[in-house]
Amino acid sequence: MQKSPAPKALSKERSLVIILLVIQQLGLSLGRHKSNHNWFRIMTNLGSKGFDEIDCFFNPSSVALVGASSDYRKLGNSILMNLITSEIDVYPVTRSRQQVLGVKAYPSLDSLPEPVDLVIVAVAAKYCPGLMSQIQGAGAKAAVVISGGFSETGHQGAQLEEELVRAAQDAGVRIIGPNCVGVSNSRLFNGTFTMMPERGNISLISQSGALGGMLIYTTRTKRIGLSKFASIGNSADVSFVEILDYFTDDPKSTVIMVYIEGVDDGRPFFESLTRAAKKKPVVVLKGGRSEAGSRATQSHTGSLAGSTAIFDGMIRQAGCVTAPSLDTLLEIAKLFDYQSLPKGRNIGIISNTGGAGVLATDASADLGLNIPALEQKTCQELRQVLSPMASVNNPVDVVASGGRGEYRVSTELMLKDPNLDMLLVICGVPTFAGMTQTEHAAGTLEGIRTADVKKPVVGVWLAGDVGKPGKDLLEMNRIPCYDNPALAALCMARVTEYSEMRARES
Amino acid sequence: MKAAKKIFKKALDEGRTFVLEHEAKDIMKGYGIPIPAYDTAATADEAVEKSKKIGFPVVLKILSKDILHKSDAGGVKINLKNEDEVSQAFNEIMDNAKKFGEEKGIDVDLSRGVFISDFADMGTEVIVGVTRDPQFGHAIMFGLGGIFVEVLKDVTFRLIPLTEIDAREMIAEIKAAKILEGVRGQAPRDVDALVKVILAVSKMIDENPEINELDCNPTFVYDKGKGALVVDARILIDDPSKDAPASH
Repeated sequence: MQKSPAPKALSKERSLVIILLVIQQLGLSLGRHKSNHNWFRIMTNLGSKGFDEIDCFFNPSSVALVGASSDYRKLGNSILMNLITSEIDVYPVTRSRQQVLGVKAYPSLDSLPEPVDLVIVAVAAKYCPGLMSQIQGAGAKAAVVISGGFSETGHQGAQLEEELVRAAQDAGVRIIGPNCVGVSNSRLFNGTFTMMPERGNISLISQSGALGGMLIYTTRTKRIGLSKFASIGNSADVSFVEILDYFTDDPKSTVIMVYIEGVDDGRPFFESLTRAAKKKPVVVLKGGRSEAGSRATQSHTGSLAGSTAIFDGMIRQAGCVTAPSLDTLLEIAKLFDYQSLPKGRNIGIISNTGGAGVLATDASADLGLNIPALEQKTCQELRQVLSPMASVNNPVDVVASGGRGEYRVSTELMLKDPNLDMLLVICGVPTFAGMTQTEHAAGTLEGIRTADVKKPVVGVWLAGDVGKPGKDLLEMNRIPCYDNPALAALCMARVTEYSEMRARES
Repeated sequence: MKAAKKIFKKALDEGRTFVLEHEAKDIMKGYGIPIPAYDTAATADEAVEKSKKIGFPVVLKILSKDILHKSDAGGVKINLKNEDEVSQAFNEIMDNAKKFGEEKGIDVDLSRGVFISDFADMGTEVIVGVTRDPQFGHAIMFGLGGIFVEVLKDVTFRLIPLTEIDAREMIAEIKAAKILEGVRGQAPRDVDALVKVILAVSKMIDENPEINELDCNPTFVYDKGKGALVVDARILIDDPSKDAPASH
């Protein structure tokens, strides 16, 4: 299936390729080229060699899939389904059929009509090393090996993996994997067998394949958009650090999420994290922290799990932030993506339930955030609009009768208060006294708009499903909204840490 | 630092993977790490002479290639206030070391005598240590001494080399950090001096990667402006004849 991309979906580089094609058709010589993609690189000299090498994995114009299958129970079928809904040319390779999922198939890489930029491999492990020279022949310098059955399975598998790497090196082909879920670029294509994440700015590297795939599903529930995703599997060739460096230099990735269990060589990893954190926030979740967890790590990927205390110190030293769990990994990254960085550690809290305000205050204080008194002027103005029963100092309690207007005014005044660097808005959504489910969220958004200051705001909408419409309204407006004050405080504390680390560098 | 390399070579030649206390302090002194005045003495008379020069009270510790854990061998005598006490302590240490050797079935080398050091005033006890992580190489540790490190494991790590900001963050991030700010009417501790110790240790390890582990334990931190002292130091080095751990 040869698709020409819709004009509005043209990326800068693809437009350039087309311009270059036009130049060539006009008879101007640009020398000999293997593929469009290559001359784009020759002409623009984009970044370093390393960046370009890894960019082949994330910005291919054409992709071949070895192991394409029409059997819905095979991974080669799921990957192909994902590829044909992508903005790229797709060449299924299979010996068994002439057409798969309605797309013309080819019996081997040698029979492809055009050179390809990337090859995805989903055939049995024993065939993989032999494919490398064919991949080279097909014009590709990059291959994603999805297939399992290598070093993760034991000694024989490890030998096969060495053979694979040697064959790839001989053929001048870089490989991601083996034993991985694949890679995706939400703006271009999905080279995995899981779902395509929503488009966004966060890039994710996962050492665990299945977990990475699962995280993709969770990003959809959590309204998190991803820019790029890489499951590195056994990282026999392309390393964790190379992907991390690529995400660091990639302007389309503005926040990086990392799931890591162990690294063989810690120093390059530390240096790569340090470089990354100087440019953009990096949130790290480390698996294999407990002794039992460490054992699980060894049997899982065969790599070493670092000693936790040293790892944590290393992360801080690198200027990255840690996430204590999967849930917080996504939520912290989302806050980095949605909101600006706070200038200090002073947090303001608004609530319509005194209790939740107290819990948020406790959680914030435990994490080292300050809950300062408000300016006198702010208190006086709040006093004029809020109920006589309201508490007009931080944490502000607008009491249960406080609705849209009270949330609007409190949010605006608190955001404008010079004593505060960030705001946490809590709402126990009431179903009584004529309140609507979304009015508190609407008021908060109005207050943010009127205040027009660059301070991060997060919400905590209690009341489960009753609160959901309000929560959705906030999140659609890029205000992260949580079910739990402690989680909100944790996310705020982490972005504050990062903000301080960035400040200390300058 | 050339002097350090010589010391390491000598230790390995003698079959030791630890350096003797005066050697450790010679190396540390070269990096500006504050240590109490010290000397060595092979005889009781010499110990008395050197103690007088250092000034009483002093501490005597056994100096032998055969004894790493000096207290276990009865090889440490503290707070010796005069010549008689020093002379008596010297002889007791030698006797204890001999007995220790007999119990362990080793012929303890006593030819080096003792290490003598000024008996430092008590300060807030902290520990600065170095370990070599199999993945990240040398990492420096900081924590408050005593139960804080032993029971509560209230310590923090950074990779070597580290910056002054890193050192300050380490000191601020332990749970007991408030103790250094001065609690219960105490003056604040000399955190700046502590930062200097951490940075000097980092530099020393960075330039001498054959050091495998190091303990500055205890290190005393005094009132703000009054400095810090590394009272006891232990340096363990690589044995290149064995499988060398990955260097950073």
